[in-house]
Amino acid sequence: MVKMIGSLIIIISGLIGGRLMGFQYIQRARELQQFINSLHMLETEISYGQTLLPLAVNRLIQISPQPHKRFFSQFYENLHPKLGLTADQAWQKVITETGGNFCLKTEDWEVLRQYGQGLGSSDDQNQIRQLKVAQKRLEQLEEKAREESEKMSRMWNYVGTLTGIGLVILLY
Amino acid sequence: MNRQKLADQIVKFLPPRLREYLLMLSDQDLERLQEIRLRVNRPLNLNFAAADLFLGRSGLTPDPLRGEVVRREDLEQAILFLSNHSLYALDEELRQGFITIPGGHRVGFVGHGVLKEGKIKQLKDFSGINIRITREVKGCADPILPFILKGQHDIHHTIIISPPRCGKTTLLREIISKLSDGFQGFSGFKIGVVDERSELAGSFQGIPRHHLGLRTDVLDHCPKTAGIYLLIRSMSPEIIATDEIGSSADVVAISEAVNAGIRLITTVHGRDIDELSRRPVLQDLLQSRIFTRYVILSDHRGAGTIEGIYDENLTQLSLLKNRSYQLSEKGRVNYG
Repeated sequence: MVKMIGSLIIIISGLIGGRLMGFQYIQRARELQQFINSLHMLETEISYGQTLLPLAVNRLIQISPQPHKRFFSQFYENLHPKLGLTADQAWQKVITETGGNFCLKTEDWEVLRQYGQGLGSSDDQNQIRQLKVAQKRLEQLEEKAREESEKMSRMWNYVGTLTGIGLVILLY
Repeated sequence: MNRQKLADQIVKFLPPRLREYLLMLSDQDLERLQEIRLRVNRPLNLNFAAADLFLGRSGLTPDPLRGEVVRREDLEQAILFLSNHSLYALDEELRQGFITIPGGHRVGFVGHGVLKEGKIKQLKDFSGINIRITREVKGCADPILPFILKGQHDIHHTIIISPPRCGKTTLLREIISKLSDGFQGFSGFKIGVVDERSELAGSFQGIPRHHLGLRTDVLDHCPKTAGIYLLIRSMSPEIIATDEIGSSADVVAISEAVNAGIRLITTVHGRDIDELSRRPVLQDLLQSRIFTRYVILSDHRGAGTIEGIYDENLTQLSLLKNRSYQLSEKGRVNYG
């Protein structure tokens, strides 16, 4: 009986371990989707309201879930005139500072970093063009990430369960 | 301007590299500071009431070689900070070549003009910035007010004549706020202000930064002519105030307002009445005798020197005939 319960526990933990490994792939796709939404909102603010960047970022803070909320509030703080950073510098800084809270890959950050380079420093048409480019590239990455996440999470599920079963067989 | 104000209102818009230089200035210098000029590849230039100096590592100096040279990045950064990281929101301002920052200070810039159909569509590649520091001289209008008031609840049509940088706008602002707030034995007027260049109210993103009185409505960034008509129609003002009239359209709008029973206070560039009467557009205005008070300013005892106050017959009314005096804070008057 004890053996039975023990093996069940091993199999379940294998399953959970597999899920956890697969989770970061799913999370990456979700985070990318959230960034696309944020950029979309920024685009609306800039094109229709000509909202000032700090105000627009403030709105993003209010509607974004974590870890994006943290990202944008840090960005907002970096824009404070006392620090003397341009929007670009503030953006790069926040990526370096809070990048660890995300499951994103280097290629994802690369797109975001490139987007930051023209932030706030051109007319609205240019701003919107840059936002569109960034959105498009993020969408491509997101699609790739989603495919990958389906494949990888399924794989990790198998790996987890099979490892659990394998361990049980070995122990018997 | 004190150190705190300078840091809060102006220095924060400059690139970090240049901030320390300005914070090095003595209180005395800050008091006299009028303009801060940044020009690409040229030394940081400060303009004081009586002197034009350069600022560098060793402080203020008349020697241009010892001034800190401004780089292109400095200027780009300053523009970004001035626009609050949002150059895209400044289309109109970039076309006009200036913006007004909190505190009512005026920042003008020059650069490479992008033209469309012969008009400046935008400026890019900025090469120079001029930060003009605005001062509020509270109470400076007090000695003038008795000359402007007419009876219990009326005022004279008044025009302030002055060359640039002699305190014309500051005086007008004070007159507006006093007449609007009212004072002992005198309730205020409803005043409409057409602030074409955002200078009187110092509006920044629609919010006036200068106190223009409790009963004052400000129409920001509107052409004078259209603005005067709009105010008459919509806000029923008793007085309309506007800065720097000069075109024939302005004159037409003014006559319109006068015929609608509205009192006027305005300013015009000029040295004296003679000089005005030589300008064709203003000649008619003078001859029509609409204005019954002429206040003439100069800077010969410092900004805000009253050269004289005249009525419609050009007789001097000033308390001290043929003697100029300088207006200063809290209604004090310096006779020099």
